[in-house]
Amino acid sequence: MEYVTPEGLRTDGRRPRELRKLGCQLGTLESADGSATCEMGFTKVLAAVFGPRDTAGKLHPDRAVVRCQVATAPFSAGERRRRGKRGPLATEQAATIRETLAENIHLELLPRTQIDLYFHVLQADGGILSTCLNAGMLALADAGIPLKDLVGSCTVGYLESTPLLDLNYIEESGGGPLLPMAYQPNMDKILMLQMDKGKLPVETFEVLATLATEGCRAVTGQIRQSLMNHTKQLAVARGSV
Amino acid sequence: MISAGERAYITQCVEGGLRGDGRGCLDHRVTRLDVGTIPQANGSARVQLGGTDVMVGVKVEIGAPLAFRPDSGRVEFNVDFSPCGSPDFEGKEGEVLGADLANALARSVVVGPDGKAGGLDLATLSILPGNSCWVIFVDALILNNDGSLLDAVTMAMRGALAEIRIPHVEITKGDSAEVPEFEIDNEKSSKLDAGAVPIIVTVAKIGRRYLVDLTSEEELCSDFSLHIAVNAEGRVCGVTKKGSTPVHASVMQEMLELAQRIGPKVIESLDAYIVDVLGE
Repeated sequence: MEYVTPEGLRTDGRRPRELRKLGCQLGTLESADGSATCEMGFTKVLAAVFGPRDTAGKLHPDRAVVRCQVATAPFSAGERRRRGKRGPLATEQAATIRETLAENIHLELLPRTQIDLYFHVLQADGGILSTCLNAGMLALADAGIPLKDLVGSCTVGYLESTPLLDLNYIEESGGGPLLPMAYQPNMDKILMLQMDKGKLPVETFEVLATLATEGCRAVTGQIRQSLMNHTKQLAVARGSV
Repeated sequence: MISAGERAYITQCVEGGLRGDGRGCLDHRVTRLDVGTIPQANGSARVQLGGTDVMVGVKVEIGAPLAFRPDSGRVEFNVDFSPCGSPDFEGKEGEVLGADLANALARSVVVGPDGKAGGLDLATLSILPGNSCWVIFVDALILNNDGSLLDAVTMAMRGALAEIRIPHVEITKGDSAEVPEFEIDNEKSSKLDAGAVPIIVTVAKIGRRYLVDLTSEEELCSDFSLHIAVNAEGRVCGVTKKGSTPVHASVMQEMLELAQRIGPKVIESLDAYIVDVLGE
């Protein structure tokens, strides 16, 4: 299978260093303290935040405790997913998401509380981890939880000697290495970087890491924009503008 | 959980013909329907019925028919409570609730061995009798529960089923004479005839009054309710009773008649919108 044509176009018509259409919506659920939907191309994730709140669970005297769960809708993928236990992948992803997003929260300001993060993958077309992180970032902001910085995430890959940005499902199943990254733009820090599948020469890895950082910066730009728009709407609704 | 004071407030208001949000007893809340929200499903819809928020995705796949109905297709229901809606839905709790709703749906929507009473002609979903058939998976996702879940799920299901197209299948004689082969032609497909599929109208009784489209607080105040599946012609396709209080037969009769009056009106307004979005 050809992932990049000689003209330099990918299976969905993008250039190798092009992101998919990013869609962000805040406050999509009524019941949650904070909620957001994030779409990267056809991948669509719903995130909900409950808390900071007091629960019967184990709480920490000095800081907030963060919990995270990822669920997948049966109709999200090409083939209908059979009902069953959540796989080890979902558990691992949930742990990664929890650690990454918790690192960005001022946990010390919220002692003896718990923050619950729930994700529901409505459509899966590659880059689930990144889309979850972006949706979670927006939902945390919507819930008014004190954050250290913005977080933006995207995935890069390497197929047919070409670095690719923001891979879709077909490209993710191409067997090349995958690097999901989460980045804080103002602090200029990498929050999370993984490399799954395959191995890479160090030089190529550096190229990919740079590309991922650029992609994350573009994503955070969009996230900032949608947060600004949402806040403006709220201000107008309250009559303070 | 509801306090005695709130219960008394709601009950007395309803007694006077008024409800907390200003509706009359037989009025629905503002309903929002979106069709085609999940492009990767064969059919999908999201319904927001007041605070209740549900999403339905339908997938059509090839599977094996049931042994005692070899010449019919199948419809499978599954209801998931998303923890995004409430932390209470996490784990076992949500699964039990979901299984309950899925059973009520199956009982109301696919009635009779051929499914015709429930509005779907399952015989048209057969590909090779005893070997393979189309299976329609109806997966509902509850994003928020503010009462009348089944009403909202069946509304969304109507929207999602309207989108479904069944691909044309060409049966050819395979190499080995015993097992015929078939080719699926996605270009040529026909619309699934789901116009006769019922919706569920939940009718409850508080004091002497009958109510439809209950909020979750109102549900806690009623001793029992009936989930009545009604089709566009106003015929009753299935009934599920919720709550352990016994019901007098005449009361049940009145509730059924009420659902028969209201159901077709709801279906009419849903269909008008669906036709508007999807075209004929």
